[in-house]
Amino acid sequence: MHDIVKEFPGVRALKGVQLKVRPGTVHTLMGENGAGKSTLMKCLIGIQPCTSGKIIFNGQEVEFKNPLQAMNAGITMIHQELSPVPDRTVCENLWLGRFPMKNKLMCDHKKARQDAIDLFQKWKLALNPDDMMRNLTVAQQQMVEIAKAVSYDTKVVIMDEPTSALTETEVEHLFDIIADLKSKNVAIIYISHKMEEIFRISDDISVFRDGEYVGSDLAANLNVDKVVEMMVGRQVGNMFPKVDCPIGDVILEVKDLASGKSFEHVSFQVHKGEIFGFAGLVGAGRTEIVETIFGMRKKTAGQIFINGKEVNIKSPEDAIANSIGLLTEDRRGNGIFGLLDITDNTVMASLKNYGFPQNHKKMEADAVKWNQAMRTKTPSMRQRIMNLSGGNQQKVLLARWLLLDPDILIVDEPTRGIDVGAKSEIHSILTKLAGEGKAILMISSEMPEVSGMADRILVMYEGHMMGIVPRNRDGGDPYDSQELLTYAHGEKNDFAAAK
Amino acid sequence: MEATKKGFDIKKFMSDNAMWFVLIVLAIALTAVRPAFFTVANLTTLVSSESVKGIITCGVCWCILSAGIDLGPGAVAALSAVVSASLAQQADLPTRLIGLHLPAILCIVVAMIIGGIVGIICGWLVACTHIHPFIATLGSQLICRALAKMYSTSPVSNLDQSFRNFAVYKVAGIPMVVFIFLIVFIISWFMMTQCRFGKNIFAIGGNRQAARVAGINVEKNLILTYMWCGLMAGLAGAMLAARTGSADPSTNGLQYEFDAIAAATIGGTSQTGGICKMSGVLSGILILGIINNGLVLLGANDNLTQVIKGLIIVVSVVVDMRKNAVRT
Amino acid sequence: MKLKKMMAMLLVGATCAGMMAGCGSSGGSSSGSAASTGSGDKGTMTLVMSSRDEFLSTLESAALKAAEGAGVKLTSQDAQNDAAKQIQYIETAVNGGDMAVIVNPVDSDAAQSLVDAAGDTPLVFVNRPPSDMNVLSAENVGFCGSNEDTSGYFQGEYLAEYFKGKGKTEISYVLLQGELGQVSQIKRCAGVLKALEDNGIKATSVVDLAGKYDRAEAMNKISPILTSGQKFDCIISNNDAMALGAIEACEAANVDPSSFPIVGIDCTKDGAAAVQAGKMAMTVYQNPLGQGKGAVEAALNLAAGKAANDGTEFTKDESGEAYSDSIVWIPFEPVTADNVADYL
Repeated sequence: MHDIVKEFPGVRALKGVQLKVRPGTVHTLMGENGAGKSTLMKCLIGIQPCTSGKIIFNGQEVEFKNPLQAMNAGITMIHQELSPVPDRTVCENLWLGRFPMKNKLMCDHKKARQDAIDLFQKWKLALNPDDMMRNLTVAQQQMVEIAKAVSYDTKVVIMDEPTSALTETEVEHLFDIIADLKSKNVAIIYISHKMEEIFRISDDISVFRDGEYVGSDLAANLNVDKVVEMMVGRQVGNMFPKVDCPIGDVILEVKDLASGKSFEHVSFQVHKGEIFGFAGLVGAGRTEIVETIFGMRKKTAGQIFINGKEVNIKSPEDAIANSIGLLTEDRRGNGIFGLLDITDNTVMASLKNYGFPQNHKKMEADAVKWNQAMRTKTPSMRQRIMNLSGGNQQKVLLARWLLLDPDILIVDEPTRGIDVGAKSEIHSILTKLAGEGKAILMISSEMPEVSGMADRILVMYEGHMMGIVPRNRDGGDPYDSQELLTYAHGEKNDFAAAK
Repeated sequence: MEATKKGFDIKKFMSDNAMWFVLIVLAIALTAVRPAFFTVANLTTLVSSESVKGIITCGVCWCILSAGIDLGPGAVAALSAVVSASLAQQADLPTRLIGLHLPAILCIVVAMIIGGIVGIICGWLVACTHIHPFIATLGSQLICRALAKMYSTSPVSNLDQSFRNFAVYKVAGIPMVVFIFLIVFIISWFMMTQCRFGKNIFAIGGNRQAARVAGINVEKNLILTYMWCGLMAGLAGAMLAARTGSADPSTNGLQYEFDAIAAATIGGTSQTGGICKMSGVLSGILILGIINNGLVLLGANDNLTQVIKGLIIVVSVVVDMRKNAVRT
Repeated sequence: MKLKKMMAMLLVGATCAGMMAGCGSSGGSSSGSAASTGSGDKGTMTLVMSSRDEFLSTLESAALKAAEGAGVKLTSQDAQNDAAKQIQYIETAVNGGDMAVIVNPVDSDAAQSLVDAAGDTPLVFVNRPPSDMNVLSAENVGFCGSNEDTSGYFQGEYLAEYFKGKGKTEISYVLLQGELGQVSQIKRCAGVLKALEDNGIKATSVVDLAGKYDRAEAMNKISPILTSGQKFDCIISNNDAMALGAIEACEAANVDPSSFPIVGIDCTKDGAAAVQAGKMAMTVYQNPLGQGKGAVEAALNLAAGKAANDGTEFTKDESGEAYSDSIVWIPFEPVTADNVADYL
């Protein structure tokens, strides 16, 4: 295995980018969203043709016309967005498109299953080949993808944000696998936004900005600040610009809330001007709680009070009428209207305010105003939102809710998959909103984010409340991260007696 | 936020209005071969022939926009045609199908109510029971066709002139049915571009979950969509009866839904929902009209007409998909 | 919840209303899936319909009446245009010990499979002949219907006489075709052209239009011909509905439909009325009553071991083929302004 060089002079998405990957190392690509990391990888494995430039693989110039050619040559990619066939088994997904055959006609199911089991054992993957893909967690589905990648006689594995959906234990497991791959002299190209991870596993780091190659160096020669500076091209201010603001009266109170088996006995109060954090592992029931408050999920027990009055919220419509907004976790699934432009996406929740017939001028003006406030980057308000980067989509969605001016704003994983620059901007917006007296409920799987932003943190574990931790205001670390983790893993429970 | 780019983008204009160019090219080509094509008389004929299907298309495009489909309109039109015709039969006719005789306008209202009820039921099935719209409306197609045949085994004719005038009375040489189509078209356009309802349906068709989160009552809006489509089918049925002077339960409106779906599709309505432009829909209706009319003038075999229709549909969808492809 | 309940009520209500409407209006003919008459003293028979339109419903009631007269219990089934269902009904009838089965085939090409399903039980095709007439050569198979070759032929003969009276031997026509490829469409078109040729008229087509047997479709198709001012001498239509569509188109274009002959087939109520009003020149009557009656008689003959056409009051086949005796022809009857009063 020799070096790979890739050059694309004069392309819009990528301008003369180059990259060298050594065998048996982890090479991390970094850059803000839209910097061209994914595009580069797509060119490499033949999803998109490169306009010019060349790829040298094992000392030979190659050009892959499609991913299959790349895979057969030993380059596989695990995509950020998984594409499983949900109603087939793990085994069938694993061998998709290359199912072992007995002869020209018949599939060899026995061999397929045995090979799958062998593969899972070899890489210590806790997967059952007979499970339906649909019943797997996102993390498990990711494991299948990894298994698929390593099942080729692979020399280069590309991982595009593989940990964004994984829990911490699963991440550890992934790192074990990566170490194993390294020891087998396999090169790994790793794309991620999570700094800690990157510095833990990387050998080399390359940074991209706006389709241009900024530079690369050994990980040992770099630190977080340097990388961020390279990525953004300027110095980034405080990542968590938390400002203490006066905490007002209780605006939202939840008593003994439950929704089916997702969670139960959840009670808390949120004050005006407060940022109320939710922490916990994936699947702890945090998203479910806010979805229930917002009327997307059926409430099976408990009461919700707003400004001291009990409310009955049966649909998002009711929630909005009660001045609640929800920025959902799944931006693509239930946030954006990909085919519609930025203006339409911004005003979608407040169409009521534009009369009959709808006042398009006012819509446009409002959309421009709020997107300017959010610093959305777009060539035009007529741009379809699907053509924007994730961070900019998120800003448009925030603009949508701010236009509605809710008293209570719920944000579920507000910065997932968003680059560092946009992330800190969103954090300052949230801080500013709290300063205006709004109550903000924030869910995040990134511990530094919750502890950096929240005034209090509610920790969940498997559908149960474990504790509500207030911020330590005496200086030093705002939260004891060790304490939060013990709650999150169910090893400490303040409410066990209460039940 | 950067400043909005102004200025005329000729390439975008061309691709947005591709079907209008196709339409103009077709019209010029036909006129060159058969000058009789481009006469006031023939163009009037063309539009009045397509008006009934045009009314149905104004309904069906909404269902497609909402990421659904309606296969019912042809059969719903047949049902409302026979019912409204039976109410509009000449009062002194000895062979009247039923005793009741209503004023013309009420017959049309009844036709629309029938369509509306079928639409509400379909909409409810689609929105609340989550049956695939294809299945729900296939059901309504079969049931309505059967109900029409049960209602009357033979064509219902000898209709009041007052009823027939809603389609055939001429103002400035143009039959009423054309004006009714235009009114319906304008209402549809107005709802789609100027009303909250239109925005809601764009949202639901583009991303149903996101629409729900944005506080849109998805169920109510879907029911309204299918109700609108039903109302249009009902109106089209009454117009069909009024125009031809007879309502035939077995041949009326056969496959009209497919012509309507074809017209909407040619006009750039996306089968996956979330994209529709009424101007495009109009171009689709007129292109099909030109093909139907032109090939008759050319004396071409009917099978050839079908081949050309099929080709245009497929090509227009391919062009559209390329246009809408996500650029990553 | 409230909404759901309301919808359920509406659904039930609409269905009921539909059923009642169906029962109320179908009058004499049966609206359920099966109907039967007769005491059954002399055995049982089954009639399997392809579907029930105006014409076939009339045929069905005539058959039921004829069976009642003969003391045979005749059960009628509607296969709803499903060829597979039709075979099932035949098998059920044979297993039930019926003396004969009468079938109005959904698919003329599948006649042999229907004969196979009947086995040794006598089987009479009614209205639609098998596309391969040799199927009728078997001893227990018969056919009762009208010869589609002759329906178009009557139209041609009428037109020939009309134009000869005007001293014309060369004419141009507009043809309104039914559903392309159906037996009736092909035979009716061929029949009318043959008659014109046989009678020394040289006919050329201005345009052949596919009207799908539908009034609106015919109207849409013929309108451009009228407005573009193309010249023709007559409009030939494969059925009345399309001829009536042509008349509507003429009226919409301010063309007098009686200024040239428009000819149809079927003699429907509306068709006959148009002939009487002078808007339509002629139509051809297909006799459903005769077909119903003739089919029952043929079935009785076969059950009694006689030839299908034994002692029939209708026309015997004179082609001299091996299966001639299996056929009972119910003649078509031309209807013009002179005799239309008999058909109203």
